[in-house]
Amino acid sequence: MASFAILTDSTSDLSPDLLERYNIDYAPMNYTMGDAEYPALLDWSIHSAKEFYDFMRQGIIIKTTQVPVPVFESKFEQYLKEGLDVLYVSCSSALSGSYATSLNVAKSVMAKYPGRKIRCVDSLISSFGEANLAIVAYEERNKGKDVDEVADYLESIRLTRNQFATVENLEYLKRCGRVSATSAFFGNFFGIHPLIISDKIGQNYAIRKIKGAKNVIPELVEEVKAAVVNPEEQTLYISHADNAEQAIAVRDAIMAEVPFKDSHLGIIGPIVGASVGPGTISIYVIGKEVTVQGGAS
Amino acid sequence: MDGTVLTGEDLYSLFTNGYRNLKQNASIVDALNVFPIPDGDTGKNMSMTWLGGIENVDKEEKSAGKMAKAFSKGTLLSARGNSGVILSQFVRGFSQGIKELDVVTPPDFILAMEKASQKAYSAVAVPTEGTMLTVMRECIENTGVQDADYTEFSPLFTDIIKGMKKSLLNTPNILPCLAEAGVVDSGGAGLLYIFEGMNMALQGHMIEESEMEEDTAETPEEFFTPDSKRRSMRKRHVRYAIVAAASGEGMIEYFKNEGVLAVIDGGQTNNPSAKAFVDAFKSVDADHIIVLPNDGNIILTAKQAAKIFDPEKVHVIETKSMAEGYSAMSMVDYSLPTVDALIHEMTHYLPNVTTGYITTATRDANINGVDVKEGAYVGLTDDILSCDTDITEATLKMFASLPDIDDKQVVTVFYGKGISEEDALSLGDALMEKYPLLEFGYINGKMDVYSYMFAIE
Repeated sequence: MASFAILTDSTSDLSPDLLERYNIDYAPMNYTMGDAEYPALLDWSIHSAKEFYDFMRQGIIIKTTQVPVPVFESKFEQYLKEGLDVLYVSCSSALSGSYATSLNVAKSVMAKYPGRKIRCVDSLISSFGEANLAIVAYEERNKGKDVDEVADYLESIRLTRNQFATVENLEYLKRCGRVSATSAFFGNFFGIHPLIISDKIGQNYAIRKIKGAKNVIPELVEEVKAAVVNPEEQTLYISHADNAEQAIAVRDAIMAEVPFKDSHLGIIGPIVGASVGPGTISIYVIGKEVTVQGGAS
Repeated sequence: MDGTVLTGEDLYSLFTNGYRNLKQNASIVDALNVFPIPDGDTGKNMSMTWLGGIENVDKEEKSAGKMAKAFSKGTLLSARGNSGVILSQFVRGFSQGIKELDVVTPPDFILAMEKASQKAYSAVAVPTEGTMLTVMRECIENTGVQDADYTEFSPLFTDIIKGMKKSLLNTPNILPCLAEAGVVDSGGAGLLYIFEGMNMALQGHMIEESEMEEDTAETPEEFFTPDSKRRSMRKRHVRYAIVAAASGEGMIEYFKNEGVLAVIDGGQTNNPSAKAFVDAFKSVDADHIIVLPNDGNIILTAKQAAKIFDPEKVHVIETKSMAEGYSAMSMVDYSLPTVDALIHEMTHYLPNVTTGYITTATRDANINGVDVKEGAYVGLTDDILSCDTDITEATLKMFASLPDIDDKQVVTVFYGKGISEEDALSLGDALMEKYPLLEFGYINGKMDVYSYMFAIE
């Protein structure tokens, strides 16, 4: 019997089969279109991924909200009642207020269940970087570690999760303020593709520019090569916002040059998707610790 | 010029150099406008007025009195703007003060200056203190020059200029609107530049006419009040400053908008002097200056200017066209830690940039196997590649003859003066139909010579 439950949230972009395979639950955030609010479900049972990204392509503004307090309360209580502790692996605190909210809710819920524990870990990343930490939690739990041991471990390794992403249109990131870069960086130029990393405080940081769509893949391969540590022991994770064709091309190019054990392709969920926009490709590898920090966003 | 008296010819030299110094600094005077909008024209008005005087005289006139009279007449006729009218009245008073004299001594000059300021005051219905009028008056009244015993002009001019400066710097204390704007009076500043120029002539330093072409000098710190907002806006220390040469109104504006701190207007022929570059370098306060000459013919000029100014600090990126300059700018990232890293980013993709132009042939010719007809549209890169009476055809043919067009990804279309956005977009449509994999962007470059310029990357 597991000693603690593993909980993440909608920005982990974990597909239903991965959630099931690694016995991970998630607390949904919400997205709104006009007046309608929907829970950001990772099984795409409300809007399909294609529908969702087509809405964005048509210019429909999608806004997102953090995990609501009652959702945290019911998830936490559900496990504590069962006699389990809870490990919550959150979206980067630089991207969502969910982590901050979870700390407060955890405190009040724990007061009702003496002896039980809720640990909240700020992943300082999102999408498959966050998901990977939740999966690591599963593996570490299987080794018999308790919630504190695993939470401490995750906090010690989180900055080794490297993100390399390119977006088709920077407007989405700019609009929701979820990217760090000076306005001079963007400028009014054509054919420029920014390379976006998750920096050491968990911000999306446009670290450099790639000119010309054809140069994007070779540059991504170079970035992965430079950052990765022990690729033969890890899975290459790539998530995309309704851009499977390019994601496959990126995967094939990386796999041809870097000896990853295997690879996993997935869809960027509605919350991350709403802030990066359709067409985004995001790569996650375990590698050197991230030391870069972008300027104020 | 012996320095003890001024003849008619001496006055001519003084007037001329006064004009040149004012002209050179006219934009500074313009910038001292009270309203924070770019409509200041005091410097221009004063220099036009003064020039009218110079153009009206016989430069070989020996008599100082006759020289001044003719000069005065010229300024009265060419006076423009309030500042010009006041200045022309000042000159009128001065010329009346010496009208009987063939040579002028320092005491004569002082008396004429007093007459000059009285005349200037009388030109205005309600004289306002804190303006150039105050400067005209105080430079004599408050300096005690009337009581001193000058035998030479040089110390007299030194004292007059000192007095003018003091009076000028005090104008914001007299006139609230100047204090509010954080500037000194622009007309007073113009007058100071005239007198400084005259003093230079007295010392034997005539400003070369060729040195006057550029007017990029920076406003002296002291022309702003200590708490002036403009002081801080004026010049900010930066790690990297980019200086570029460009021609065409739209291109100049574009480079400015994209963060080029000093754009040198190369004019229609895009051929600025080394001095223009040096002046541009002086106008920025940066650890490193990166220069984009943007024309194959001015790379050497830029390099020479860099050598003169500070070869350690100035780095020339050899952009051979504005399209290359655009490409280099598109890769700028000021957060890079070293200038070498920044230059690496800016130059990384440059070898891949092809610059294409569409212009009109000025004569019939057969070049590079292309039959060129006068008046027809010519497409060219380094060579003439196409010619057609139809602009779209000329463009399509040019693209078709680029050997590496299939490797290209992005085309930025800069359209020139006389080309509408609609024209540019429809030309782009024709290109897109032919090259569906290319990405197109459009910029209104308002170039004079070229209908179109293409950055093909």
